[in-house]
Amino acid sequence: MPSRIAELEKDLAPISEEYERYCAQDSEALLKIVKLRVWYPLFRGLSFSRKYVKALNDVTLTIRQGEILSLVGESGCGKTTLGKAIARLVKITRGKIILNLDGNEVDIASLSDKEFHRYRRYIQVIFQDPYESLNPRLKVRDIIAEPLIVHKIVRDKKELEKYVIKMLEQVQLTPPEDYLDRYPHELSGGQRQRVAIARALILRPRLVIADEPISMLDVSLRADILNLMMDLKDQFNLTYLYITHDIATARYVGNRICVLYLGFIVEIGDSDKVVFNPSHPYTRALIAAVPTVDSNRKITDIPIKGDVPPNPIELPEGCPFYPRCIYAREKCARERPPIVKIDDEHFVACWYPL
Amino acid sequence: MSFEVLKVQNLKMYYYMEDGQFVRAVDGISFSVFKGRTLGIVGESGCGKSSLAMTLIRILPANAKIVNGSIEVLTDRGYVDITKLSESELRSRIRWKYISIIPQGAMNALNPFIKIGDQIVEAILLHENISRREAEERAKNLLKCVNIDPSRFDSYPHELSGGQRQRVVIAMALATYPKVIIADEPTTALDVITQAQVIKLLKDLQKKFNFGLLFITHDLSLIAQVADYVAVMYAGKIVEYGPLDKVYNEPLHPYTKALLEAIPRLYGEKKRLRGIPGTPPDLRNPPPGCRFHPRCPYADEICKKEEPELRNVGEGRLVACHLV
Amino acid sequence: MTYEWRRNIKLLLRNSNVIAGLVLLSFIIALCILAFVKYGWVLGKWCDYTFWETYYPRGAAPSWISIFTGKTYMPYMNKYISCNRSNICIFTINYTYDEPPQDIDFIVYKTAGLGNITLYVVLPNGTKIPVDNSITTSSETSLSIASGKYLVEMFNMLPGSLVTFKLFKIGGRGVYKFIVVSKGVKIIGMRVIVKSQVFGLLGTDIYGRDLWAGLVWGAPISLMVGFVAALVSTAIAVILGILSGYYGFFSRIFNIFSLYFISEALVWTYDVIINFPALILLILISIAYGKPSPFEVALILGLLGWGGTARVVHVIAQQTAATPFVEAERSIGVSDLRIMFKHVLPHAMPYVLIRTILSIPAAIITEAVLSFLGLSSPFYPTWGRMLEAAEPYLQCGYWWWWVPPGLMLAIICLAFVLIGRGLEEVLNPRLRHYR
Repeated sequence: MPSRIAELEKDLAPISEEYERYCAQDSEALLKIVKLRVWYPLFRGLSFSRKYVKALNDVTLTIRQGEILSLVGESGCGKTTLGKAIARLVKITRGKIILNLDGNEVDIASLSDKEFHRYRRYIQVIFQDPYESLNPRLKVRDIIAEPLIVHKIVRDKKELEKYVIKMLEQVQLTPPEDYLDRYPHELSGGQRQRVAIARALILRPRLVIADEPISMLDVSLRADILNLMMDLKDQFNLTYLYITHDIATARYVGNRICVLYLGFIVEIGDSDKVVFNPSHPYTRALIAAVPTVDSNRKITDIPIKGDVPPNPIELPEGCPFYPRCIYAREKCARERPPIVKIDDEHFVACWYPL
Repeated sequence: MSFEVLKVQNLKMYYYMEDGQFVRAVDGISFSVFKGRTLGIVGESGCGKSSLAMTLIRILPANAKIVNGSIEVLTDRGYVDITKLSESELRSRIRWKYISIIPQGAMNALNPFIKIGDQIVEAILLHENISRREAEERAKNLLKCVNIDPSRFDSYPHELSGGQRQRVVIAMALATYPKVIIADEPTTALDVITQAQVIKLLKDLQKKFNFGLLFITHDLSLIAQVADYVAVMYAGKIVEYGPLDKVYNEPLHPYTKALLEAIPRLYGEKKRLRGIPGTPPDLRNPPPGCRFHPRCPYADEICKKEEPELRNVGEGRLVACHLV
Repeated sequence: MTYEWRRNIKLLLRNSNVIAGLVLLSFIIALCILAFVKYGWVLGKWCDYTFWETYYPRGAAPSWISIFTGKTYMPYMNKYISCNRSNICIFTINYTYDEPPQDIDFIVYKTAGLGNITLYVVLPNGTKIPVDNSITTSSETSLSIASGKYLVEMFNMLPGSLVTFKLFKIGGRGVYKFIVVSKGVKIIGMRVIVKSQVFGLLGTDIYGRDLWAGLVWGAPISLMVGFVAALVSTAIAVILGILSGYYGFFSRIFNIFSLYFISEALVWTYDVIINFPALILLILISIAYGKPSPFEVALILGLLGWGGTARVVHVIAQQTAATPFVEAERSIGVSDLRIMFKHVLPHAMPYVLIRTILSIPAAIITEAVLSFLGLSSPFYPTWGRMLEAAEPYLQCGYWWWWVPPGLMLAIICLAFVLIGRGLEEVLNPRLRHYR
């Protein structure tokens, strides 16, 4: 029993002092995530098995006011879980999420559901699937108005309609009256995503978590949605957490990129620095694997070992990337590397950064 | 100069709807796939590329009909137009022997109750008259070729990762050493790294077995890694065709140009991307004249009236546009 | 409930199964209306055997049987003749039929005192025959042909309809006069009841009960049983199913073990309840606590029948809880209850509706079985009860006692099954083409 508790208490993701200062000192920080852990227990029938899916392991991260932080990684790395944890759509096992609202700091991870309700309006989510994230039984006007009704901001029907119309104009669904009474299945993918954006932004949140908002749209539509999101960011003074698996979009959109692997941060920093000078072997493999239109750059061997996907139930002892790292050395198998500074605005969790 | 293993000419396939209208999913497509070379077909949703894939191997729903055109496959006895064959002839003589397909969502198409090795063996035995032992030998070889340990012959699909399952499907497509393989979005559900590994594998296999590959996808950057020639599809028609380098570096058709401007580049400066306004046309009532004209920034009067022909503009390139 | 219901209803109304089912159902509803409008009085009197025996013929065949037999039958008559306090009362009838009645009853209302009342019949050929006699002090007395003392003696037969037949055979066709004479008292009036061999649309049963009236009443009672059972079980199933499904899903996400345990326990309950033998329980209740009325039967069936639907709703609720739009609504802050009943429930409704409709005939049949066993309240004329009354006489040729109720049961079940099937055809493939 004591060893189990010790295992649960132990800090999974060590960070260097420099990183700690980098995160803590940020006066522009909107959200400070401190050692966030999200573990899903595996249920077997009626018994409570002791195994967990370790989606996020003591992640420490700061999101600055007004920035776009791109969260990158492959499936199962925990990026979606991080987004959902901030929006409190999953249970947080441990850790703090400190929201900074004009000087007032609140640890939203520690609030009860009722207490958190009033903070929901500051953190909104745009989901990945425009076909599934809108309730098919509601009209567009109801979908967009719902947040206002739930948070009791507007009661009067006429006023509601005015707000909804204004929002539709802002997401470029014009003329708005045409769209008010339509149902989601009558809209195209791009239009639905705009409705989802309208719904997320109508409460004027501070932080918008965009979970792969364009991956299910056609190529020709993506640019417009991205541009819309960027324009609205300037207009409403928003901050984005942009979750994606496409590193090219991550760089285009984000000021900073954070790369996750198996629930750990492996690299974080300014977008151009991470893309042009990847220091973590995983980031390097990821970038080598991205197909580009530039036909001079052909995909050759990817600098990665094996093909077995990582198992989030049994974490390796040392560096989480050790089993697939081609540069791995003995230390990597035993000890977990802390997040250290490579450069200004560039941090890596590796014993032997490239 | 290699020769054609698949020759498609003026292919038209329509879906007939209950209300009497028909959807012109494939409306006059012509192209060739050469031995040992890859033709990439790129287009967005609704352009008809998946319908094209299904038409080529003639797995069509009841209300779909090939209205016109020919699909010629190179067999041991010369070119055979498979649009003229009956279903049973097609099944016994052509499908999988000369032309096979890696369909969309293939990794989920594996039978979850049968071991993967047996599924490959089944694919072999259905089309070739060899003993089971020989088929098993070949299956194990194929697994090796796709970088799966032959000892995993007895595994079930759910015991493998997504990437491994996709590779099993590739092995199945290769099982009878076809002359041409059609890959319809073979990597959509895979992670970036796994996708890169699968693509590299396909290219290596192509060098080894010298089959022609028809690679269909919506991902322009992926085509750039895989294809030697590229055909851009829009609204059931090919609007541009040519060698990869030429088309991507000097796009001629406005749609190709717009597509290339819509994707973010990993390197290079961060330009503001531009999307294409409007939506793809309803293939029941395509717009008159050039089908792209409602969304084309350069559209002229003639574009609204006359449909442009796919013309040869030199250097092995074809474009269907009045303004070129 | 929005756009899709309007479209659905249009599709439904074009579906051949639904149309057929609705046609049958409207026939049933027509019977219900008839029951309330014309036969309202029957409900209280169904068990009043004396009433039926007095005023109606027993075992009478349906009137239209004459089409098949080719014979004409003397029709039923129930007529009051006022006699103005005289000593004589005459009833005349022109008998032009092939078949005589089983009996003719004369209920004589007399003034107080001891009176000697005699019934004579004058045959068409003029012969006057004494029929029956009664000496009594009560205010009314009954005389009849079939059990008329004098006739019985004269013909040397046992009292019964054969006596009447013989009388009319002897008399032949013509005008008959029935004369009632009183000595010692005056006759106020008399009621003549011709207990014919045929009666009404469906004849009468062994007790003389008008089977058409009974049949007609079977419709609203069966419908009531079906609907009450269906509504009660659906209400329970939906509420439990949504709660267990929705919270079951979220208990996994938020690792709240107690909720998870409750939801699993509920699912286990559903499986138990599905297998619970409702009919046997009803039989036991009937034996232990007395025979239940149709409404009570319906309630019990409702309380026992929610297992299957609850399971279905549970699964749908779980699936819906997992969808991105529910997640989106939670991210906005919509309360769980609102999500459950405004969003999860409409998703489940198509499936629930089909099951509800299909559960109606099941309830009706169960009630019919219970009635057939004689274990339901005899005060209500349900079709099962009619079958129960007919059961001992199945070989006797009284087909109109059991064919109509059996047929009606089949029709009402068919109606709902057809509607259910039509619903399934419309709702299921459409759900596949959802986008």
